[in-house]
Amino acid sequence: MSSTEPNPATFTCVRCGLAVRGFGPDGDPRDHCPSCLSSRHVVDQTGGTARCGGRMTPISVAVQRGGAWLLVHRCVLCDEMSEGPVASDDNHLVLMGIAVRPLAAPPFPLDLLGEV
Amino acid sequence: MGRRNSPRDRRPQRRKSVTHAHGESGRAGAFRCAQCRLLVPADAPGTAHRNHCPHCLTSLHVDRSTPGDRAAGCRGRMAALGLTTRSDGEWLVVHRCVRCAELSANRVAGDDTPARWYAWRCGPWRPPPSRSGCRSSPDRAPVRRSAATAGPADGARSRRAAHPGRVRWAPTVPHRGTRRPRTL
Repeated sequence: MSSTEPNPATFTCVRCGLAVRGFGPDGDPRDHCPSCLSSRHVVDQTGGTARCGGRMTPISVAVQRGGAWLLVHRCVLCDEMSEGPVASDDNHLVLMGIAVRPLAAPPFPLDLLGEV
Repeated sequence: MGRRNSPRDRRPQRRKSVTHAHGESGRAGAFRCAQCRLLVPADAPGTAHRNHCPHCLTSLHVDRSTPGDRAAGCRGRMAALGLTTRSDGEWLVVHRCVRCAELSANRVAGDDTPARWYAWRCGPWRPPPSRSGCRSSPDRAPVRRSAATAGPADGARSRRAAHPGRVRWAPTVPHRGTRRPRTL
């Protein structure tokens, strides 16, 4: 979550300062800013309260088999990783930028794919 | 060699404090994949911390935070979840444990199968969850029915048509694992 309280009415993004409602348009609790997609490390992997409080940057987008998108965050302080669902009003430009970032800098020549 | 992949810009890899020279099963520096049972040598081109199978990219949940510490007692299978990049252009595979849902990231090796990497990014393309109404088109326009002619079944249909942004896209790829990547 992006605040110290479980599901606050509003919270302020730690990166861009946007005042964000605690629930998305579908009624689901929101764990990241819809503008810059940053989050805050206050919930650990088991669902308990984490004392780190660091900023979590979005690093990857994962597509589940059902078609839903997952956003993977990594804490800049303790390198803990977490995942959360993508809301329908998240910034699509930032989302697509994260998704195609590996294709922008492939570690091998793209001609290799024709031989696979 | 690309601009971002020059050796000068490469981040030095962390040194291992624990070396597993004989392996966990007695094989010298090799491990058996938990998914496809491939015998994988620990020596990999381009990385000193290989922890996943080069064929199916599956890993095992044995390390907690430092590569090789063997501090995790889960030992569940870790399936590949997605891809990410470092700021210097290195690719990382994001794994998720199927038992405890722990996440981890590991750098790709030089002999990992490139088709698997691109199968995630080029094969299973689906649009992100759309905003309400932003994908509205004339054929998806809400059908206006009068209250006198609309029955109970028509009411359900008109409610669905009133939210064209929530129409789920049909799956384009039935099984993404065997699909060949597109030639870029």
